[in-house]
Amino acid sequence: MVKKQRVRKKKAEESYCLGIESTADDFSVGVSTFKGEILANIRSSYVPAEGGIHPREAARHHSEQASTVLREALGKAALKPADLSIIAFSQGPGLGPCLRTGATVARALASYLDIPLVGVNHCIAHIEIGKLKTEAIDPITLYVSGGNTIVAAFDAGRYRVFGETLDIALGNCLDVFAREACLRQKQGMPLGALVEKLAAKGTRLLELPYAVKGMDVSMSGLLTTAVTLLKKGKCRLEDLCYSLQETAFSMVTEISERGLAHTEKKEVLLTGGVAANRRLQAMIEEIAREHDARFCVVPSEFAVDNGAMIAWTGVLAYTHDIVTPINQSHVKLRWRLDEVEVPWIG
Amino acid sequence: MMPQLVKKGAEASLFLADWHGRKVIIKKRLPKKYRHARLDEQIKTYRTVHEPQLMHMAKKAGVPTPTIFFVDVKNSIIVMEFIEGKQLKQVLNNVSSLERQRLCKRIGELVGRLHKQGIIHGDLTTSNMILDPRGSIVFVDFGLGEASKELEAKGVDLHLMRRALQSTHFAFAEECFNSIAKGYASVVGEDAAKDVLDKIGDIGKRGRYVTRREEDNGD
Amino acid sequence: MKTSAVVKLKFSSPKITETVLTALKPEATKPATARSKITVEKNGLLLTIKVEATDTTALRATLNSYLRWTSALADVLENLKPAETQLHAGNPA
Repeated sequence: MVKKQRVRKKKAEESYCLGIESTADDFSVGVSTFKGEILANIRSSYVPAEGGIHPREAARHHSEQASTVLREALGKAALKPADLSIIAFSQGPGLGPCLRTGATVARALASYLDIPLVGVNHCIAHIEIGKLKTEAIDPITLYVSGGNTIVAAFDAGRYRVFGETLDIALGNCLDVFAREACLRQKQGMPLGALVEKLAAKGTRLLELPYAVKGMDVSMSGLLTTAVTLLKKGKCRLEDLCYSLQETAFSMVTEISERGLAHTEKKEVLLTGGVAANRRLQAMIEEIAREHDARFCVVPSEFAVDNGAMIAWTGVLAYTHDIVTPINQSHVKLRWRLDEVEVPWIG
Repeated sequence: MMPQLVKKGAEASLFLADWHGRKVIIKKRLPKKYRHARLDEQIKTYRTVHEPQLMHMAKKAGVPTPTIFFVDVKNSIIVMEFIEGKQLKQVLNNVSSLERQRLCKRIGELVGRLHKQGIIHGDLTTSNMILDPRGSIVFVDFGLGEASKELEAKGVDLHLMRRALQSTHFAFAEECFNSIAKGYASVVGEDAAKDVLDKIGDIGKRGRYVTRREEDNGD
Repeated sequence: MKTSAVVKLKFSSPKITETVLTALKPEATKPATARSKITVEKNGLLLTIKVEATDTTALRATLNSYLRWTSALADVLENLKPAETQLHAGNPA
């Protein structure tokens, strides 16, 4: 008992941030110390019975799971609510109903515990958790997920976008194709991972539209052609998955390499849900080697949407005097990462 | 003169060399180990064939481009005129606001000429424009270009220009872009320019969750 | 058809009512759709949510959202309470 109390007291000297992530189909709560030690990272994914994410259904899942996920996270971190110093939440970009659910929970916690609230840009959080976990200092980042495809690097006070998708995100392209192919998502096995598994058995490269435009990519033509070939039923699904991956990944790798050559950064960071794909990792590693840059890939637990990245970015922001008053904590559905001042670098 | 490497880009290496007494740039597209060998071959061949064609079309449309002397598709090599001068990227940062606006208006006129003839540059950045000693702006690197009269293609082309300005000249990106838009409109006409500018607005709003339902319109 | 609804919710303590109000207010001041207008108020333990909507679909959607949020917040906040009580019980000082 005495020992327990001593542990508790020692912990109380530390500062902790609890982060809430709810931009899309995941509701996640993470806890980070102000020194960047991740104490908890609990996630609950909304898995649609069929079809893609329905934002309202995902938001309903988030409302129902919020309390459980939160309790689990605090339990894992061995903290009481009163031990928390700040609450961070993903303020955008993302799906409205999902963002709003996370935001209301975050506001309630901050208000009830009477501690500061910090709104975090979801895309920046993906970069910051990648840097934290790989010890990258000033990388060019390829951030690829279901909602985003961005090549970004820090310059003069902000992350600047060097390349991005002109239409759909890389993860979305893979997901939509997988659903068209009637692949079924399971807890812990995202659709992209199913495509990757099939692609590993592909042998034939089919010709699909390769669309790099300047520093940007366009994926919708590629997806349409792949789905058309699928419906015709004359190609093996394995070959289609293989060709889709080869073409789409080559496109994002090409713009990453252009960004790398342009910025002359010495690290390349791969982050976001699609970062878990081995084939994409190999491609990005290759361009890093080519340009004498260090290849960094975020561990898979932190590649997907997660609360820990929000908590950690909340710490960075708060310790540089950024707080979000509750009455100004509206969600921002289309909040671009290059709109955000980043005072914690440089 | 031995060929001398002047730029190792992401896609190609540029060598400065002597070609029958002329100063030339040899552009050699490099194989990319990360991509499938056949895809790599297709991309290199496509670009090596199309780039000179587009540059020739651009010249006919009244947009200065380097003259092409030789193309070797098998080895992905293009030999072209060497343009003396400075990249607009450097120039824009070191001139008065008035001069910057004049140069940007000129860029807009040149892009307008390209689009009017159905030529999409594909990579409009201030690194791909050279201000020569006579004061002409020369467009280079049509490697990602295409022939298209589609509004979408024109919109994307100018959207990329704007994005390039934002990432390299963030202090005066909007000022530059406004001047470009003015020059563009003076060539293609106010109405056509407005259509393209509206399209750029649309493109800027895309990018995330586009295939998903965005707003709360009921259950 | 213009529609409206009033929902009254009673929470277990004034502090919880106050907290739920604070958390919902930003949503009410900047609603997701122009089709619904929302006001939230409190009186003691009671939280009142008023929704005016241009049609029943919008009304239902907005009510669903607010009811889910309040229910999630009630769960979350009730969960915080016992943890605090335990802390005080185990810590006589």
